[in-house]
Amino acid sequence: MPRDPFSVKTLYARGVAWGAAWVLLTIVFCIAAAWQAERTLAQDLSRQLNQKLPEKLTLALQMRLSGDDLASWVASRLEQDLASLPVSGSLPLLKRCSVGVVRLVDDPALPAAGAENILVRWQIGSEQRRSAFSLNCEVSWPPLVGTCALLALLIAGLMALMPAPLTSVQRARIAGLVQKGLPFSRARQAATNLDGEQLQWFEQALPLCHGDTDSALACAEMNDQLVFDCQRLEIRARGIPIKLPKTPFFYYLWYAQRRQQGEGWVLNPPVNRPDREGAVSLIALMAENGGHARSINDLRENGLRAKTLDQNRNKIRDELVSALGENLAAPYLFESERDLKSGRYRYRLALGAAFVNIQITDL
Amino acid sequence: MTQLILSGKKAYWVVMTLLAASGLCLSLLLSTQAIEVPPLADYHLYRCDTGEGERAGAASNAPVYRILLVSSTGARAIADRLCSEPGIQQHYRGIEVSWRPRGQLSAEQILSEDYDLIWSRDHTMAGVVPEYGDYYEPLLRYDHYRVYWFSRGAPPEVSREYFHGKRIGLLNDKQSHTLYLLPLASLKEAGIDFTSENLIYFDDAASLYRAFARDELDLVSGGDYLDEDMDVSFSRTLISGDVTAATLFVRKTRVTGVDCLVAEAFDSFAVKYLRSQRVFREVSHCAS
Repeated sequence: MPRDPFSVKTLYARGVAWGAAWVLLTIVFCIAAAWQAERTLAQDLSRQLNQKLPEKLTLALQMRLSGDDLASWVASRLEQDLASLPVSGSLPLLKRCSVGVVRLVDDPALPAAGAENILVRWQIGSEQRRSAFSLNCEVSWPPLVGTCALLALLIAGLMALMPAPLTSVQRARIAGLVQKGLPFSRARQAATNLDGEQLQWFEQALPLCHGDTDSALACAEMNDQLVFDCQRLEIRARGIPIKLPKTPFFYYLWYAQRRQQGEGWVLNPPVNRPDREGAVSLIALMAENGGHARSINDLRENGLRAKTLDQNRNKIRDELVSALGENLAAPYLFESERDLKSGRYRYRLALGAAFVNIQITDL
Repeated sequence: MTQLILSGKKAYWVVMTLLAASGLCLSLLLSTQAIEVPPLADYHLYRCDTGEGERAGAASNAPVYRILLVSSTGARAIADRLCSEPGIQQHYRGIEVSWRPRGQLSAEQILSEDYDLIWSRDHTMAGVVPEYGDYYEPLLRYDHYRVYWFSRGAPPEVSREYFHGKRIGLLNDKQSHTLYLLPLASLKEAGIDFTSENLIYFDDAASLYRAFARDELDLVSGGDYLDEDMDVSFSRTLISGDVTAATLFVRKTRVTGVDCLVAEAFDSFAVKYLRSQRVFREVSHCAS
């Protein structure tokens, strides 16, 4: 049976997987958004401070004799001025931003104190100076997480809508089906929905349907079914017509009728004592449907013989296997078991009675 | 067959990755933030309130006393002291002190009397506005200010042999007596061709003295304020003991009652840093 993509279990598993993907995407998006928000803010701040501060710092700090506390005074004034910075953006992700002075007067030749610092370069005369600032913001979690979750939901939804990838086996099947003339979408559908045996049926049916892919597909998808067409003396296995020689056809039909009537077992008669009673129904069947006179006479004279039964079963088997192949023919053939009382074998049609349909048309 | 390739695992993961990447790009795009840096104050300017404004209500239109200095050193202490003087509080609602290089004082600022008090020198003022005397007059002068050569080792000798090969630090301010004019004059006097000596110019005094403290300079000039500022030991040789360190100019049209208070406020600073003699003609009017 092909797996059912809509069973509760499969749906549940898919739901859990996509839910996990959604959470994962939310986390990734949130980290990226928070990082980007702080980065762009620091960039913007750095640009503006580099525009506004150098001149002011030069003016303030150029005229001191030595390391007095002027720098710390300027630093605290600056921190006051930058204690509450209004943040704008398409989303309010950060709030209550303030700037701290890490070091107001620094030698730019020294390595920067921290990578996250905002650096402002200024100069006294021709001498380079550097100031390092830190930006401290509070993250507004509700808009950040809300936006990221929504975005992640959109992306995860789009991902879930993508058709699942096909395995190489499936793709090989599709390639085969497309080569046989099936349009891609039908081939894809067939490759996912049909199992291996059904695909074999399709391939067997296709030449017999004269390349009609639709009927071949119908044949592959239907259940096992055996139809006896007594007018044309042919059988149709899942709609595939198989021509049998007259005598084996009637033997096959006879076995099928027995199957319809019950368990369907037919015990092979002993070699030295043909079954004359059993032959009656077969003779009637042949006579009614135009069987060979010679076969009918033989049955009348000699009754049902084990040898004839074996020969005809073998003939049927050969015809079916050559038309359908060993695998597909199997359910349409005979099963056997040893009768414990007599020690002889008995045979019946393997296919259940429900699958057999006999169309007897009066001549 | 393209449809078959597109339905493969590789194509599936490529599309998944593209979707995730586009989501990531979108989140980056949406989270861009901008900041509005508010107007920044002037940090070369310190202002204190006398409290007069609060007493008289917001409508108080008492003026602010404006002081222009050449150095930030001591500036805030002077302003704070003046703010706390009851005599000042009567007339002014605040003290504003700012510091700029001498050369940045403009003629307009003198003519429009922007400042109530200017720390400068006669020749500097006259160089900007020759008739500055119509607007400003000297309140007091700091004389006998001593300028030295400083060395980290033995006391410097003002001789050609001694100075040869030494690293000499100067301020890149051609109006600075202490750090430019006097040391160069001293070299000249000793017959040293200073164009061939190792003169190193600094753009601010703090860097000059930092370099001296780090032993990157052998000789620097300076006043007694170095005793206050430097942690390292050094020795000195006098260049000149009679320099006019500064003159305080005040507006001619002023509240005369505050002169003594202003002079006292500067004295506390001058004693510490200049160690010079104060010449204050009006001192007899001041209550001791």
